[in-house]
Parts: sequence; C-alpha cells; structure tokens
Amino acid sequence: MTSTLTLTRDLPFPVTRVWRAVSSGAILAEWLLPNDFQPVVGCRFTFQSQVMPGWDGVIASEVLEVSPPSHLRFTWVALGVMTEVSVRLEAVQGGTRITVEQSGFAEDQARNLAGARYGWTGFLDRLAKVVEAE
Amino acid sequence: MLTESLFKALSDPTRRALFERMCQEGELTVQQLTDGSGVSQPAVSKHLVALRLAGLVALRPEGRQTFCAARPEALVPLSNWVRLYSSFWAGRLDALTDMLSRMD
Repeated sequence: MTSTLTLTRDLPFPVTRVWRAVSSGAILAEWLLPNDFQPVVGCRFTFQSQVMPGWDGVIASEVLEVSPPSHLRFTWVALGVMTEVSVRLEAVQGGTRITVEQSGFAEDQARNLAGARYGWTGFLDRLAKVVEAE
Repeated sequence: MLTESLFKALSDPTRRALFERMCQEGELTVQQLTDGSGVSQPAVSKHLVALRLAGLVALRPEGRQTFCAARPEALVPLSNWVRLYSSFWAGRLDALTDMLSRMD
C-alpha cells in the first residue's frame, strides 16, 4: 500500500513562464533546491538539501518524463525513501494551475528504513515514551 | 519554513540536549537550563530562539524569569513522510510564486 500527496495552486502567471521555472535547472535551484537537473528523459541528477548529522542531504533523481509545457516527472530518492514527483501545469482563467504529486510512500517501511539508517526512530521513540509518561 | 527550521533546530547537539531535558524534566527556567548545560546563558538563549522558531519550545516570561517548556508534538511531521513532504512542497510553492513574480 502506498500513499500519494497532492498539492494544487493557481498561479497568476502564463503557462510558458511557469514551465520555464519548473524545467530549468538554474531556476529550480532558486525556488526548490540546488541541482544539476537537465530536462532530458533518462537524465540522472541530484538535488542538494540541507546536510545534517547522518545525512549528506543528497536527493537522487532521474527524469522520467518531459512534456512541455505541461508535464514533468522525476524520481526522488532521499533518506531511504523512494518516490516519484510529478509536476503538471494547466492553463486556467487568470494563469496556470500547478499540481505537484509525490507518490510511492510506503509509510511503515519507509519510516523503518530511514529510522534505522539515520537514527531518528530511536530519538523519536525515546521522546514519545517521555511524553506518554507525563 | 517549518520543516527546514525543524531540521536546523535539531541538528545541533546542544539544542537537542536542551530539548530532551525539557521533555524529561518539564518546564524549566533559562537559568535552570543553563546550569549543567556546559554553555553560557547567552548561548542557551540563542538556542532557545532557534527551538522556538521551530515550534519545539514555548517560552513564558514571568517577572524577571522566563519559563521554557518543550512541545514534542512539533516533531510529528518528522515521523510521517507524507506530512513532512506536504509541508516541504507548500513552502517550495511559496518560493516558486515569489520567483515567478521576479521573472520576465
């Protein structure tokens, strides 16, 4: 069983501008994360998130689909959790509707994997016990 | 944004230790937190600001003292990937909107 998260926003900008902002590595770096993304199917790249104890902040990705100006899909693998991100653009009255979907979360499995590797589970479990005891 | 400030707050071992102490001992004054922390009071105060920004502590001034209490419920997003990423993408879409208004 996997979960998907979906966010939708209506942006008061033309589709061509929004497409440029989501499909250019340089612009993605400004609003999403530093990266070496290229809008080419099969391109393997990384996003660089915040470095923290137990994680170098690297998110591994591969471009799955580039369909200008409406659809972009890539994998997103971070902290032992493997997911897929889809960015869909649709022209609407007044601008562009952007829908971001991230899918493939297998909740329990993902948490156990990430927790085991990065120590968060132990930390959180200890805190949960303390809170329960109050 | 919320997720980033959570990670930032918890990535410092002194801050983690302060937070865990408040979880275990309940409400403490800044002075009590400083005693036995191994760092100066101004440093403790700085750490408390970072923890408060992340929603991890509540600060309650009373007279000349400030009482500090942990809010472990603020950690819930870290234990749930969908919640964490929802928060992440909401913040990124805010940044995208800002970016778009600066593009020509």
